[in-house]
Formats: sequence, C-alpha cells, structure tokens
Amino acid sequence: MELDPRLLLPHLAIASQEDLFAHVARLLRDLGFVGATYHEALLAREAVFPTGLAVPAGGVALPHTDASHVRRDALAVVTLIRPILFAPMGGDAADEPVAVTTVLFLVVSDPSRQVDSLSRTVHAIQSDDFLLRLQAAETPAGLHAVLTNQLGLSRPTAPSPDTHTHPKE
Amino acid sequence: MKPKKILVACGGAVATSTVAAECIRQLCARHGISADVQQCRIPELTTNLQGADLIVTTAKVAQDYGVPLVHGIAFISGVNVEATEAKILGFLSPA
Repeated sequence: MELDPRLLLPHLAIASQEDLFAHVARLLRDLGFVGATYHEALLAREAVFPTGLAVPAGGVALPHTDASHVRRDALAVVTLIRPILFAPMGGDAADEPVAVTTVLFLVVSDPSRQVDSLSRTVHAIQSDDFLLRLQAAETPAGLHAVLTNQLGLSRPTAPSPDTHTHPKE
Repeated sequence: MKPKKILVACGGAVATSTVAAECIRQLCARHGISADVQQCRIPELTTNLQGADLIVTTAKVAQDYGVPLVHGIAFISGVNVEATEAKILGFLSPA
C-alpha cells in the first residue's frame, strides 16, 4: 500500500462529509490512484455502509469503495480541525453519529494482497497513542513519520515530484 | 469433524470483512476449531448460506437468514473484542 505524502492532509478545515469526499476523491483521481467512478462510489457506499467508528481516542472513519474503482492501492489520511459527523459502522443514518477527527481512506484494488496492511491499519486505530500522534502532526511529513512507524508502510516505488499539487477547494 | 463454515460479510468484501475474517481465523486457531471462513458482500449472503454455521457482519443487517448472526464491529473498533469473541465461540462450540 502506497503512502504518498501528497495524500496526507493534516489539520484540514472542511465543513462536511460531502466536501471532504469531493476534495479527497479529486486528489486521488488527479494523481491517478482512482478512476472517474470513485467519487460516486464512495458517496454511495458510505450512505449504505457507513464507516464511522467511536474508538477510545475519538472518532475515526474508514471510507472506501469496491475494488473496481481503484487503480493503485493507497492510504489517504486526513486529520480535521473540526469534527465531521459520520454514521456509525454497523448502523445507519438513524443511529447516533460519530464525531470524526481522523479519516483514513482505504484505497484498495485487491484486498487479498492487502490483508497485512489493512490489519495493521485497523489495529493502529485502536491505539490511543497512534491517533493522538496523527492528530498532533502538523505537516504531511509529520503524518508520514507516524504512519511509517506504526504501520510499516513504505514510500511509493517511483519517486514523487517535490511540487505538491493540492487542488484548491 | 466438518469445519465450521463462517461467513464474514460487509458492504464490499474489501476492508472490514478482510480484517474481521483474519481475526476470526486466528480466534478459531487459538481454540482448536476447524473453520472455513469465507468473505462476501451482504447481498451475497443469501447465495452463500448453504451449510453456514455462523454469520459475522460489520454492517447493519435487518434480514433473518436462519443462521446465528454476530456483529463484528468490535474487530474494527477494538472495543468489546472479548465479548464478541465469546459470543462467536458460543455459537461454534459443541453444546
């Protein structure tokens, strides 16, 4: 699973789940990680199978889609200045929402090859220490350091350009 | 003894069911239970039901499949894992 620094977005100021999904979906598409159908699929999946999780250190969400919308495996990580409400995993919009401050987009094209990194990611979010460190990171490099330490994820094989191309919101 | 067939279902058989299935495989191994753990999507449950002993799901399920069903969110959130494991073992162990 790639840990591209351009997909690590610390302390984002975003008001709603819709805006967050639009922002990240566009970024993933611009960088070639997902196809054109990803954004729609992400919204549809979250509406039916929500991914908000109340863990001891706060609210986390793990939005994802069917593998068919993904071209290259990646993990996109967003920490939020203000929480965004997600419906709880295992529930639906009728259940009490989770106030989420850390969002990990699991961008996976073949889950059978990602069992280890998915397991490590899920176990990591169960750790207060991991989430508090993610929340404290102020730069993509800071997030990258926390993630590589805790998840054992590697940098992309191809060198990524130094110019960061975050689309303007 | 025939292995216990356990269906692990989530929205897309991508992330949460992959992790939950792995947790259940390890749980069964720790307790010497021979298990055939299969992942599927929620809508595929009906076609995979044949011979199933248990369903574990990480999504909301309203339907009654006529097979014991356990919610496996604990494997993802890490909250109440022991209680969920005990419930699963209760359905798999001979009475």
